[in-house]
Amino acid sequence: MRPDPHGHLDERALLAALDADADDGLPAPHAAHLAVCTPCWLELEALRRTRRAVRALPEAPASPDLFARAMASRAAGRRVALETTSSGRRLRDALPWAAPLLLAASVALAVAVPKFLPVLGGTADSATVAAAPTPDRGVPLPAAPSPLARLGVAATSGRWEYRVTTPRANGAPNLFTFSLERSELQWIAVSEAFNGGDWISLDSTWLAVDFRALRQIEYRYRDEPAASIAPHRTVEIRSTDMIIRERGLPPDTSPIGLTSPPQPQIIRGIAALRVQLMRETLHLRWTRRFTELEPMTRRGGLPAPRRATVIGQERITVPVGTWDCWVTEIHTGRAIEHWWVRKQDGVIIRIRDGAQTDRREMVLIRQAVR
Amino acid sequence: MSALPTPADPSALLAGLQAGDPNALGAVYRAHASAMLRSIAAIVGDRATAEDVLHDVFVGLPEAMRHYRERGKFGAWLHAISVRRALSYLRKMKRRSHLGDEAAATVGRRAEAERLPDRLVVEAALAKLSPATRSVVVLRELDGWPYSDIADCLGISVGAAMTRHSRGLQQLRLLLKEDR
Repeated sequence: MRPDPHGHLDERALLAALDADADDGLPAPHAAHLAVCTPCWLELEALRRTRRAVRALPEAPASPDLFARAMASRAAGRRVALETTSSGRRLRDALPWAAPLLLAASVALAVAVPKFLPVLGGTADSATVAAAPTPDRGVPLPAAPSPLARLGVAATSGRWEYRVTTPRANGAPNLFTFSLERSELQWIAVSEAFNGGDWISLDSTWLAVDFRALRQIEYRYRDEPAASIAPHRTVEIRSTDMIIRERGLPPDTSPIGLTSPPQPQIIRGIAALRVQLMRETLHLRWTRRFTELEPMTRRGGLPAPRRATVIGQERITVPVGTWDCWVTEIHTGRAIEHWWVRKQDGVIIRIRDGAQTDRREMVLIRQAVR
Repeated sequence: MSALPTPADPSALLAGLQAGDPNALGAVYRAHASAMLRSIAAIVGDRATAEDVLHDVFVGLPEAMRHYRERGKFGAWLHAISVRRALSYLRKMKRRSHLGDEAAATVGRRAEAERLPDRLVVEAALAKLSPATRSVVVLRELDGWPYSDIADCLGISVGAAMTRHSRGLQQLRLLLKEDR
């Protein structure tokens, strides 16, 4: 109980007293105060009356006709994408790196992609794509058709699985997996799935980026039905039109229509990092400010300023193997994170932030590439 | 069409829901729709809109079932989906116009002008709360959710849920007092 400056119960204490009616009795301090304070007792009684009035609202019988209409809508092919988890908070709280990692994955791949983009001077053979020389440890590859598959584009798929340890989880690791697909064309699709042990359901995000045009093409959060994908917008990416024409696909088979408003910040962020990372490959140090959109929010994104600096190189060992990495320091404004990015293909090997005693860490533990 | 699932066969029920089996959907509708409709109506402010929201929930339920994990109560999960759908509807309406406010004001004026049964007075008072506050009050008072579940459903902290609940009750108390 926290009495207000006048000695009365504050709103939280009154609420606790109200809730105590339904629980195991009034807490002793509240009861003692209410026994002697008429204003608080009257206030509590008024709240009790209010509660009784609200709880007396009757159930509204749902008619069979309404159900029949819903079934008729389904039969007619109508689908509704429902929000099955709260928009981001649970995810973000449990796994603060979800959004940054998604962005980082695409950023990191930007380093590798030019190796197999003809337009950027690489090889067109997707079989040579930067597959890490590590055994497939049985991580299941995504079964669902991806935007790339829907386009009929040959792609290399991979799945990387991380163990995330956070102080909040009392040291108990969460598992975080995401899959990437890379093609000889300029498409990259990213999806993710979370398995937090006993606390979270499956979730997914798609992010498709055209690295030649340095533009984000598609961003989809959660599992939107195909019917909700907007028709292809020819103005978006010219190269997409080329692909479709070359393969004789009808325009409406494209998954590239924007299903959410354009997010210029994230596009700029990717572009800036990519260009600067390419400089780093020429042994030029750099520091770059960019803005990242954390997409896991109900309102569609929180601009989050970042400053990234490649601070060096390091060979590190994680459960999957030992690799040479770029070490990148990311200043988020609230914290400093360190990313170890594998040189050979841009895959993130480790992210750390926080102090030694309060450290969150994400480490690559399994991977599969095909 | 598969046989009508029974409560004794929950796995068949869940499988039926995922497959969009009308029998399974009907079983869930009979068990939960009335309570869902009451909460949705309290949040969106009118019965017709609430029915539209409930309709959409049952249209989209089979696809949404892919995200259901048998870790909690199905009824609570379903209820949370319907609440989010209702809030999503309110957000859309707010973007398009201020219809929600107008509707609430209309109900409020009606409540003031007429001598209404208690139920309508309470509904009118609820409609005057902000959607954010109203949803917390509804989930706590009508559905009896713990604060942690409310926070989880609405994507807010437990403290924020308690604060909204407390203030919502205080506002309701004043509104109902005015109507007496």
